[in-house]
Amino acid sequence: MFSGFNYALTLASLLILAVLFMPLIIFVWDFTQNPACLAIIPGEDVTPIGDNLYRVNITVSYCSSIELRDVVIQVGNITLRFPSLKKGNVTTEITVSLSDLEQAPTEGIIEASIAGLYRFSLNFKYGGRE
Amino acid sequence: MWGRIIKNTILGVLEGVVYYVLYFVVIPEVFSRALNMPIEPPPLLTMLMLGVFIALGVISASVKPFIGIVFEAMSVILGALVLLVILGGEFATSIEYDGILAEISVEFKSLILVIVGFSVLYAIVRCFERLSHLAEE
Repeated sequence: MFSGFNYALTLASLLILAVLFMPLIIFVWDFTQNPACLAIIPGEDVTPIGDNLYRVNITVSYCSSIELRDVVIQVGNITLRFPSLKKGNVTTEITVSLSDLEQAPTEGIIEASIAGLYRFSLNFKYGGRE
Repeated sequence: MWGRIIKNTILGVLEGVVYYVLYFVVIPEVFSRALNMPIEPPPLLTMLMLGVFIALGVISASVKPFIGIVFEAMSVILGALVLLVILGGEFATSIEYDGILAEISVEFKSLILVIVGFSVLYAIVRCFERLSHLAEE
């Protein structure tokens, strides 16, 4: 009776671990293959909407097949939030002030949850280690 | 009598080596390959853990079965602790790409906890298995 239970437990644990592990493996693999897997592309059109405010399109490109949830992207003073991010491009419209446009951001943070299971954070800084 | 002692010792050493290989080699290696990060436990800790796993295995096989259960459970709990210490549940690295320095950190505590949970469940089943064998004898 117990040997059967042991086999069932081993099989169930391996299956569950494989299911839990797979999103992490695929996500890391996709990022290793393409470090620019998650990219923020600012639009070229800047529309003035008055009082030093401008409307800008920002496209977020994501290459992995693993869904990201609770995505927070912060670049300079601009914060973008997405409940989920799937493979492909998402374009969103944001309102920024003139000072935000003039000030070139040098660093940012991307926080998300890989398939809703593993918290992931990416701090990036332009200019490398200098 | 000596034959039984030698048999129990060999069985205990094998059991200790199996636990050591599972918790100290196989699972960290799987994480290392999956996350593309090197996991190198300190050599002194490696030797110490191998010794402790073998000692627990030998004691578990040599003493009376009812007490042996405790030492076997200790092997599993030690293995789970080793996983928590070595892997830590968080992976962090930094890469430089196209003039951008990126510091990446990934938390996988939930996965470690699932492995620890299954280990404890497995230890409980093994305890019941040995207890039922004791009752049959």
